Amino acid sequence: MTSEKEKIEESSVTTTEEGRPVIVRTLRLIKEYQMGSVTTQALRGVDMVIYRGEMIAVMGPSGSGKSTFFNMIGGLDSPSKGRVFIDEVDVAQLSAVELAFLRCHKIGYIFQSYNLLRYMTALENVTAPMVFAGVTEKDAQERGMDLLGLVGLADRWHHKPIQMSGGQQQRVAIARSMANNPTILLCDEPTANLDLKTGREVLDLLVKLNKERHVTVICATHDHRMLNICDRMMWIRDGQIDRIKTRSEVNIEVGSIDGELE
Amino acid sequence: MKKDKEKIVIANQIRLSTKRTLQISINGIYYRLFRSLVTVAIVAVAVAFMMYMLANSLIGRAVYIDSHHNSIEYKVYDRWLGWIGHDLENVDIFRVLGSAPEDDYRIEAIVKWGNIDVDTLEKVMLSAQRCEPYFIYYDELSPGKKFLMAGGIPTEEFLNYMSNEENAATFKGRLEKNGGLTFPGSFDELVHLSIFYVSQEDLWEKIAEGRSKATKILKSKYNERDFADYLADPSEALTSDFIELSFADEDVDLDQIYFRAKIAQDLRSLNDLLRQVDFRKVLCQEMEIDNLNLDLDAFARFYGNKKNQKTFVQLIADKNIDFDMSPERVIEILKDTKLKTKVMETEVKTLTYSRGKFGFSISVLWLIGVSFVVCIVGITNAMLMSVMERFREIATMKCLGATDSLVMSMFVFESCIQGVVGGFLGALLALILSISVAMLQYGASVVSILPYGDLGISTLIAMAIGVILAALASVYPAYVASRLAPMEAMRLE
Repeated sequence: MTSEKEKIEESSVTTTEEGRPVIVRTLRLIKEYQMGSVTTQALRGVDMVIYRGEMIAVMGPSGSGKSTFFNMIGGLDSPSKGRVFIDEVDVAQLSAVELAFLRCHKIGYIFQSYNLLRYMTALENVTAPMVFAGVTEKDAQERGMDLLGLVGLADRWHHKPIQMSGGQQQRVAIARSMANNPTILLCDEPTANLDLKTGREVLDLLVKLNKERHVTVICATHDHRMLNICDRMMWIRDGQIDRIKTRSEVNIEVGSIDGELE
Repeated sequence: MKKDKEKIVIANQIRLSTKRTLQISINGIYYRLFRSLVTVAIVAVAVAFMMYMLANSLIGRAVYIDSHHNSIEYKVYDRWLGWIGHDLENVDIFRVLGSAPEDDYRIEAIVKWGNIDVDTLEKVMLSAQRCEPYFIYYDELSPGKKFLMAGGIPTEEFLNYMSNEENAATFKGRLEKNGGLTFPGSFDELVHLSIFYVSQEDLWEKIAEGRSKATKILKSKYNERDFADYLADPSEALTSDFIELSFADEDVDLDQIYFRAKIAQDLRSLNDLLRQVDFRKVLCQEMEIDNLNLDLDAFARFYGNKKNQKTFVQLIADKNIDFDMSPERVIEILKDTKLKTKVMETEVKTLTYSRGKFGFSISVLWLIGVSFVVCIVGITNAMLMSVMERFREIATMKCLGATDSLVMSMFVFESCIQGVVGGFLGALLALILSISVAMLQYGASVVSILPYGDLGISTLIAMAIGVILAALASVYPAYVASRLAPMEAMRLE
């Protein structure tokens, strides 16, 4: 039985803001960690929205709460206080089984270290989320091959991750993340382990997915090239949002980059 | 543009079919074959241990039953000879009354000889039957135990011994100290029975008198030959005399006895031949062995080939001895003797297996229990290590949509499959081992009397136990795996 959760509490939660549809919204997001008698606050009240179909970069120094924030909006962790809404659904209200559904069907994940299943071929890796979604084997393989074609690796469908370079593995990971046609693509430092050229290819792919398939792409990154690609960038410092800038607002000069990084 | 407006609808993540989960689990094992083999080996060893005990006891029981049937054949002649030829003690009569079936002709014979009335017979038979377990109990004690309990007296004197008050008290004390020696009844009953037995002294005498009269008539009629010789040549007249004097029933199978008696007779004449001093000397020279070492076994080995047979015949001719047994007959009786010894030995050797289907002693059960515990602990440990190694993989899978219960089922399934394979291998190993040991112990022919049905069922039981062990052991690690947070996958290496 489908449980459609449409909890619209508090008048401040709306589906649009500034006329654009919102896909992720956080409300006074706070995350605290208890270590013995000491309580550390990783996030100190983050309020922000992410619009449907945009490409946004989340930047910030290590320890700033960037990873924690990322986990929140990706359905991988739950807040101590405050709320996270993924398309009006309060993530904290979801049961474990519903969360699994969310991760399977609505969100695609791309990791810095690719996180492919070592013992499976590229095709099997790509079709893994489809298996969990209950897709028949034939359909899954068909779609899998299509996706591999999309990322340009159709001829390497039978190779294991060990037989592929870093860039190729990341592309397989991207194909995998698109397996169930998710609405959101969550990328954790996708280019960090790659050289400039392959990194470039990966970024182009992300842009392509964003433009052609209207997937919302959310990247946590240190890569400068993101600045040129993303619609918006947000910086997090000390558990709070430092600033959010659109692409046009960021000044990029030859040889230097404005805006604080690391 | 339509996609922009599409709302996210949250539902429950579907539960994958068992077939799919099984597929995933099998993949999991296939990719991690070596680690799986460790678990398989642990299960195999534990199951093999238990299965070996089981198979051994099943095979032992089958061998016992078979040799028991065979030995009856040999025992009939001996028993008959004892019944008519040798002296019977009071206690032997008593035990026959206690152990023979009701329509046994020997009971009739005893009644006739002792001129016993129905009531007395009933009373005595009842007492004898209640006494028989005590006889068996004492008889089966080891010589050491016999000495400990009653000064090592022979079984025949047991009741006499117990009828004495002092002895009874001592015995009681020792029984209490060594408690639990499968004593078949109450101590008081034993004493009561012993006193009853002793009190029937004149009854035994009457029976003995009647019997000895009959024996005398028989002997006088047939010139005081050895009874063994009578049996080897039962004419019709002899048979009817046996029946008349109550030494036989019309239904007694004299043919079988005759067959055995002939063999015994021939063996005796062969033995006598071998004992003749000068022949013995010459034969020993020919066989190149020492005079003292010549026995039926050595002779049987010597007589094995045709050349020696010819030499033997030659020697007999040289010494002018009157021995006209054909070589075929000689071989036949020698073989039969060997077989008889072997069968009786086997019956005795496997006696312990005859009680109960499994006959496991406490210490064996304890060992098996310990091995199971060790097995479970080992598997749990191996699986936990595996889970820890695979944490990244598990977390990734959760990010892709695997539910907690799927992860848990996956691990339990993996473990069950390993359990089945391990159980099967262990059972197979144990079967091969126990059959080989049995063949060594009882000879290659044991293969024909193996209880294949029972062994098959045991194999299935062993496999089931393998699965249960593995499944139990995997519950905790699987639970740990299922509780892993997908956040772990986000951790940097």
